[in-house]
Amino acid sequence: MLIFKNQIENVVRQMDVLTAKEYDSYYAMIVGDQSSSFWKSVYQSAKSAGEEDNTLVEFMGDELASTFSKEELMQIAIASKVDGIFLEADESEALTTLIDEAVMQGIPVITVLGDNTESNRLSYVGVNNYNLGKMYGKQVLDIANGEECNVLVLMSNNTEDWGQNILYASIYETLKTVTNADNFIHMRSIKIEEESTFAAEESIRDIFVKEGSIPDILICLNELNTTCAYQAVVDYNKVGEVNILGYYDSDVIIKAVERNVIYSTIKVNTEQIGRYLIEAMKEYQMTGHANEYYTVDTALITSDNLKEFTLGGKDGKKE
Amino acid sequence: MGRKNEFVGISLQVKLMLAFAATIVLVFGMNAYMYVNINNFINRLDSIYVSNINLNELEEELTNVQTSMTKFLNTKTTDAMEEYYKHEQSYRNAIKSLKDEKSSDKLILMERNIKKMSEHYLLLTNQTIEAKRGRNVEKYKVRYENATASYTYISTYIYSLNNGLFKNNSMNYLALSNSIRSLERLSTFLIMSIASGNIIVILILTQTITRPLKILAKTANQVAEGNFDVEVVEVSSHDEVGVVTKAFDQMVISIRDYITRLKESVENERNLKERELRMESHLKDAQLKYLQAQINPHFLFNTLNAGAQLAMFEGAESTCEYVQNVAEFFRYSIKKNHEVVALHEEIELVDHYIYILNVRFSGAIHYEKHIDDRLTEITVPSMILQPIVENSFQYGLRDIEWEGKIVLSVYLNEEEVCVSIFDNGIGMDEEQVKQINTRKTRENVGDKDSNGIGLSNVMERLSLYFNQSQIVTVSSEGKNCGTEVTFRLPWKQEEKHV
Repeated sequence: MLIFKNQIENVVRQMDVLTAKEYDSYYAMIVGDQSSSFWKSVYQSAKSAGEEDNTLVEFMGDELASTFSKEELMQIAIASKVDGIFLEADESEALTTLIDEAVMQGIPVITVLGDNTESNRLSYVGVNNYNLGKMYGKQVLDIANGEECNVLVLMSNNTEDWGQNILYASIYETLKTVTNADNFIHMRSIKIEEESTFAAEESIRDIFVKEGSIPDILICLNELNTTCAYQAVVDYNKVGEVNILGYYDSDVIIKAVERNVIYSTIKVNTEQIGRYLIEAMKEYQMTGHANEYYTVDTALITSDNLKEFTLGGKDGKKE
Repeated sequence: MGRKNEFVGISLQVKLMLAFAATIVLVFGMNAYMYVNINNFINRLDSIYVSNINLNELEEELTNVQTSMTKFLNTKTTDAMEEYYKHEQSYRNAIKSLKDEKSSDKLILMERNIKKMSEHYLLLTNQTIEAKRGRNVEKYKVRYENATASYTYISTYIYSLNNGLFKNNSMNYLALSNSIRSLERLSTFLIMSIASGNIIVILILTQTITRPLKILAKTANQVAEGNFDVEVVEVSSHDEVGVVTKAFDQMVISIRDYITRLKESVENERNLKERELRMESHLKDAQLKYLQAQINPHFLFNTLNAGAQLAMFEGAESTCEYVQNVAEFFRYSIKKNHEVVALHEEIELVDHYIYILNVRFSGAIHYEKHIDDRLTEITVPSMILQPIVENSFQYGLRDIEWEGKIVLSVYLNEEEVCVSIFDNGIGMDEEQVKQINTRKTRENVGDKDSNGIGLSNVMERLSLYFNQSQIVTVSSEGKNCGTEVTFRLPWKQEEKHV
């Protein structure tokens, strides 16, 4: 009788969703690739940071049956009258318009990792692309060690992504610090369609299939490209021939570093990103303004220092 | 204990009623419980998909708004506009019921977003309609596009929410159907429990009825076989069985009492009969002895009477009186030898006898009488005083040197008529008195001077007649101090005649 009563009560509790909690504020997070563990990690961090402040953070469009573009999600967020938007922006005009519209309707927008400098966005939270470029450049020089080598940078097709351009320029600049580097390090880049589905995998595969296009060093600037490049190197049996400089420390990538398939990867402090996002929004609500830039820490993970990260969770800034 | 007493005090009808009522109440209660739960479940089940249905209706309304707006933009007819406003209104009403919470529950959050977006959408559609009516082609086209985009987002949200709800509802449905299955199991278990409990109760109940009945039947059989010494059946209940058992017990006790009384009565009768027989035998014995002592008393009486008359003719008055006394004496023995007589008749016989003795022994006996005349009507067996007086003379006075004296007294002493015969003769020692009183000494019946009826015969007959042992008491103060024989006869002895 008692067991049965408990069972019924459980069912009723389950049906009535008694555990649902109501929040004071509601922020939407809009990013390009919601499925990536990098963004998931950022979201979780922002969510738990918001939780402390009775703030709800939603991964916009996560639960929807259709996939929407960032622009569409921006429109949805604006129409839904959220209290704030975290946006992985780029420098496109469409986004500038939408950010401005949101700001006009009283919704502050904070860009994260990708910026839209033209807009009236409140703050930018992200890595210092110049420093990141320097880190990649130093790695290239380490690998090249004065010998001739080809470097290929996988870039997004978004020409207006200034951060990416800065990063590329920074790598280039770093290489130039070495005399005559031009002569033995041949750096080039290809653009990978971001909007198109499966484009990353297809494009990276093409690199390995086409005769003579296989680089000595492959620089990937996001998690997806890193994972695809790693898989391609394994599939085409180019381990040891192609050095991958990756991005982010997902389990797959860490494992690849451990196996020396990926030469090194950049660890971005996702927890810090999430925390900064909430902090910036909170500061704005309390004071009416917030910092323009929030720089998050990055660290380089190689097979040599891997253990420090996996065991101690070392998260030190390393340039 | 108190409760048990309360229970045993209930009648069979009430017990049975209670048992059945308890069963019915239990079954009814269980049914009600099940019914309420099942009803609750059904209501829940009903409500499960209501949310989906509502959402479908909402989506339908949204489509209606979009369609009617498009239609108006296409045709610009009044009908289309009316239709648009109608749908716009009903959609506006429909979204009112949506939740507006910034909830951690994603579905509630979706509802909120749908509501906000719908408000935004309706603003856009209204602006589009206004622009169309104002013939602002550029504006209404842009706004139409914005509204359509918004429509797409809302549709997607509703669709997604619908899916989410459906997923939740399906889970709830599963949980509910599992619960219903549990309920089935529980109800089966409860029914079985109630059934077994009921069987136990009925077993106990019927046992409380049949057990005393069985004992009663067994005892009744014993009684029927004639054994009345059965143990009384113990009754603890006060129901109908208890009443019957008690009545049976009472009946057995009554029969037993009756039998005891009957036995006593038979015993009494037997004793009485025996007494009568013994008395008769003693009387017969006395009569026989009397007859042996007197040779044909009739003849003797007639002869003596003739002698008296002869003496009278001859003028010998003393002789005549003497002979008459002797005649009277014998006559009494003829007349009264069977009967019970009055005490005064006995006294008269003693008078005759003393006279005869005084004639025989030349007035050797001084005879005194102290008689309370009121008492002389009581009846006594015949021939009781004369033998005592004869004894007094024979053993007390005959051989004494001094003047003999016999005193006969009749007086009342505490409801007893005392008849005392005292002689101042030779007397007895204490041992002899004791032996006579305890009847250890049998008189010598063959004594030559005795007429045969002795003291013990008198004592026996009196005892039998009055059904008392100690009627006659002999007392003596010692040697030469005389002897007194006292009869204590019950005063109201008329009733004692047998």
